[in-house]
Amino acid sequence: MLSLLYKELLLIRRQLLLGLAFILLFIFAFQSLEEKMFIAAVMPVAYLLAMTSCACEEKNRGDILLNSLPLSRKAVVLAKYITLVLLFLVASLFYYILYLAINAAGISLRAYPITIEGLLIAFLAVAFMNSVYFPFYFKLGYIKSRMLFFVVFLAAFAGIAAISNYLAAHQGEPWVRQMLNFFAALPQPAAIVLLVGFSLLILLISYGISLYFYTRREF
Amino acid sequence: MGAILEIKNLSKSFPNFRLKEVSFFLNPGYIMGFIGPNGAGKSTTIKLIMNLLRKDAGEIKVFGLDHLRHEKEIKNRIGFVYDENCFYEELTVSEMKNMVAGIYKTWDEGAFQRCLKKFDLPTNAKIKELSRGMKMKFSLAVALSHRADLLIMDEPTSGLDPLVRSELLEILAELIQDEQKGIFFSTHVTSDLDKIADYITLINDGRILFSKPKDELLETHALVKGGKELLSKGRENCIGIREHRYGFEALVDNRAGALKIWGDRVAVERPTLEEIMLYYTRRDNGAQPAL
Repeated sequence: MLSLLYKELLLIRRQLLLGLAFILLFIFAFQSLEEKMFIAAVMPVAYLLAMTSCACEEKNRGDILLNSLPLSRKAVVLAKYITLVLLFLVASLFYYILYLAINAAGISLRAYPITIEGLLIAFLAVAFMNSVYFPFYFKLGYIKSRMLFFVVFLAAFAGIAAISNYLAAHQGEPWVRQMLNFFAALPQPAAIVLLVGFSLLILLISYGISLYFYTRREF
Repeated sequence: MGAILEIKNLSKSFPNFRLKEVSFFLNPGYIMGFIGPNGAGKSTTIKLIMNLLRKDAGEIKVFGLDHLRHEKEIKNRIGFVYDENCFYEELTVSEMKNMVAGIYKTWDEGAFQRCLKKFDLPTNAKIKELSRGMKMKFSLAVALSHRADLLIMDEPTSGLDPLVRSELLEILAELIQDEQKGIFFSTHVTSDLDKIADYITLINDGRILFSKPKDELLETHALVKGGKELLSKGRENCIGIREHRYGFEALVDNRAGALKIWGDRVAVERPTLEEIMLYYTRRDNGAQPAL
């Protein structure tokens, strides 16, 4: 497994630097989002890095190599999901470094700190987006599934905006009020467990579907 | 000791091609040349052995073990060299080695370093910067560094210059000396096999035409040349016939039988593997199908 993760990070090392640049760009672009800035900056970068890793695999005919080595297909699929978590952590670290640097520089640009809620919501969003995309990738390969990648990418942003707008417009409705009150009343540890648990559950279901497809795939 | 590779009634269907009940075996200590024209089913057979394709029916045993149930164990003992590079182009030789070394249980770093030196491979060069010959040598270095007992090679010499091809063949001949390892070598360049193969398996249109020791094949087959009038008898004994203005040339699989039919009225020559392959696989071979 460590060899697979080593390979994943080596393959996208140049794109990691590009990811750092994108996060800086998003900090500029999302000044009005305040504490939601972290989510808006890290979510697309982690997703794009995961996609780059898939593209590199296809470009190098990686599946031929990986399936000729003494590796189970389970390990190959699992490595992609673990890589996703690593990429999310790397993107978060990049944001944190930029946050410290921008605040230390004392310039007019503002970078907002990372909150626990922000971190967990961003992870949930990244987990959800990739959980939708990865099964298609493992079934069809990158080339045939890349359109879907962009659909998921755009749908995620449009979906988050649509849900936010809907909730804002229907604040008065009892079920919306009940739901918001439920989350507001949740103690922080419970909220953390809920968000992490939900993210992991989504990833686990997606992993099962991806594994089902990949074990049946031919190269 | 049992067969190192044993295939029985292996079948696989695609919309435009079918591998039909392929069977053969390879014992340790031998090199088997797997020959056939392009599209005959060589790569399909290799992909099925490596479980890159899923078989429809049949049995594949490697080291006496089922290739699916013992996949990891088997692949730890298989070295592979494919016709096209399958290593990550963006990684350096050293990075790529680090990745695969962590995956094989029996990685021998000393052996890899010896291979690097022998093949003159630069450790800091990216895989994409290596020539085709160097990429093949890198594949071979990886295959030789985890103490593989079976080397599976799919058209390893295609696109290589004669010098590199000759080097590769020397390495393979050396490797087989300990009589424990086996090499399964697919190619359509049969001259490579004239030098090193012990067994020849010919596949055409998804079907195995024969799997025999090379020496037996070359001793029993003969290229017969004579006047056209001689074809009034003996045509049915020919694998394939080429007729031209001045006479005919035919491949027979029974040299003694041919001499009995035509006697000294024909010239009898020893065929090359290429000629054997061509006569067996030509669609307009002018003879009744021999098999």
